[in-house]
Amino acid sequence: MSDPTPPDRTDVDLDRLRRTLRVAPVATLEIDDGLADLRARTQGRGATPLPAPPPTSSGTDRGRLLAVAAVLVLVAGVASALVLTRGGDDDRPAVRIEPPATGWYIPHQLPKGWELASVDSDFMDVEGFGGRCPCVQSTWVHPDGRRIAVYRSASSAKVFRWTADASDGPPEEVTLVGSVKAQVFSPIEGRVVVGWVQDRRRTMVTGQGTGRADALLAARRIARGEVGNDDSPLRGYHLLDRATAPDGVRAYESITVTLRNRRAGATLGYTLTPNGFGASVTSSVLGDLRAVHVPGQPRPLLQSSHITAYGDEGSGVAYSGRWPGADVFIGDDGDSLHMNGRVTDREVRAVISALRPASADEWARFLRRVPQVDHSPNLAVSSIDALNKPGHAITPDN
Amino acid sequence: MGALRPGAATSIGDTGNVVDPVSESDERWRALTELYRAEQLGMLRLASLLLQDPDLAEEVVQDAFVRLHPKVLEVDRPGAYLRTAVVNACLGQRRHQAVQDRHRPDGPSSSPAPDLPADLSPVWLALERLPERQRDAIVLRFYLDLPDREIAELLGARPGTVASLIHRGLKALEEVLAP
Repeated sequence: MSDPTPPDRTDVDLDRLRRTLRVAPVATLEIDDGLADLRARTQGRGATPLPAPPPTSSGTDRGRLLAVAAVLVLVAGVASALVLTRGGDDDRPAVRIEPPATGWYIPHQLPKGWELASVDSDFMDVEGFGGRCPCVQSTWVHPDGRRIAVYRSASSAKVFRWTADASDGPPEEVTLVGSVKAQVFSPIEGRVVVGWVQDRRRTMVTGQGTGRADALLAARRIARGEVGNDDSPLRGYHLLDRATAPDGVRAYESITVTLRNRRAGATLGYTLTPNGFGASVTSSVLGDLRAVHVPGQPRPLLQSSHITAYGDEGSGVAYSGRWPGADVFIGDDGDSLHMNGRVTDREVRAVISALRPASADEWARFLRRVPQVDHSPNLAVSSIDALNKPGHAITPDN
Repeated sequence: MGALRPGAATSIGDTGNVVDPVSESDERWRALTELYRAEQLGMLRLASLLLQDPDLAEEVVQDAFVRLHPKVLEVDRPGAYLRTAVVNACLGQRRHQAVQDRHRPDGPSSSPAPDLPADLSPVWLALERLPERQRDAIVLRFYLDLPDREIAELLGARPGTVASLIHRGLKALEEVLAP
């Protein structure tokens, strides 16, 4: 029988209940990267699948089952090791073993004169930007520096709407293919944006230095299905960066750790966002964009100059990285959010070098050392939980 | 939920082009890897909440990814599809477990309680004492934030029953969750 009382009309502390549900699995799970095991099993090797329900009444107890599974996983591990060591004569994609990632990164030391100032959490509305994940952004670059970024997301809207303040009047409308029409606009000199909705997918092509004709050519090739997701829409370009944000996310929280140098009167912040959501920065760069290695970090970062939103501020340098568990951004964002006062590139690189992945416990201890913390519940567990905040991440299927 | 998109797997072939089985296999693995990186942790936590057994949760999630692999390119919303697969597998494994426990001479096994902050530990203990169906409904509502309709589909119940399960679960938790 159904109960006439609305279930959520209750006196209980639902935030505490939600926090318990988010913290409990973190406290019990020891996460291994099972990708190698997965690779082995999808190729027909390794552990056998779990016995499928419905239940049997055999006397096999779970301890024995787990022991057998453990042996099989061990076999899978050996098989996986073989996959890993086959190296260059194997044309399958390489399997990379990475440590489990919480998405938290903290500086293990700070440049001279710098100290921790604050940690803030910002609500980011994915749908508010007109999209709906899964979202993929690929950035292709020509040897001469021209770039084209292709951003694709699901869309509940039937037509593309440019939400920014287009100072040059309404965007131009062009036909890409059949009845598919796109809006074309140039929000800032040197940049052309072509946006459209097709088959419930929203696509934005941003050409930087490409000119209008090439940006439109790229858009038409995509709309006509002439190029696949892995192909550059323009000849002579190579893939510089690709970011994928997962399915079903309406909003998320980005976390910014701000450092300050009292003597210089300067601040510098780095932002952590769930993987895939730090992608848009690549289409906001007016100057150079290239992959660089910063000492102390195993993965390359994208170094950019002159990021701008809708103005011409921001002539400084910034770095963005797609690290395990989180995208990281640090430097001059053109909007004074991450950097104020005089901050040298050397100092920015020193902070990047000092960043290390942190467990949930280490992150919690770190927060206790920060003078000013936005006590959002999202700061409690991990950046993944920031993504999975109840009410944000999962959308009803429709 | 996560419905297959009919014809998606052969859409390239339908245009008259030859489908390269090697590149399709690579693409499938690439798609699965991306999904794994994005979803593994969240799915493990969900399975751990439903099963209250981290080891079994890991097996269930890994198995769900293996089963998804052949159709990962055809599934419309792989994340949602995976979530459904994991919830179904958890419920199935628990039924399986219940039968095995009946044959266990020393009774049902249990995992140690997680080491939680002092204000959360009583909530967890109270959750553990809830009947499984109520606890499942509470987890799906307050961890995944699913509406009644989807919870009902996952639990194989009517939406009204889900509302009742959640209401009764919250009533039982009131003692420890009173503000």
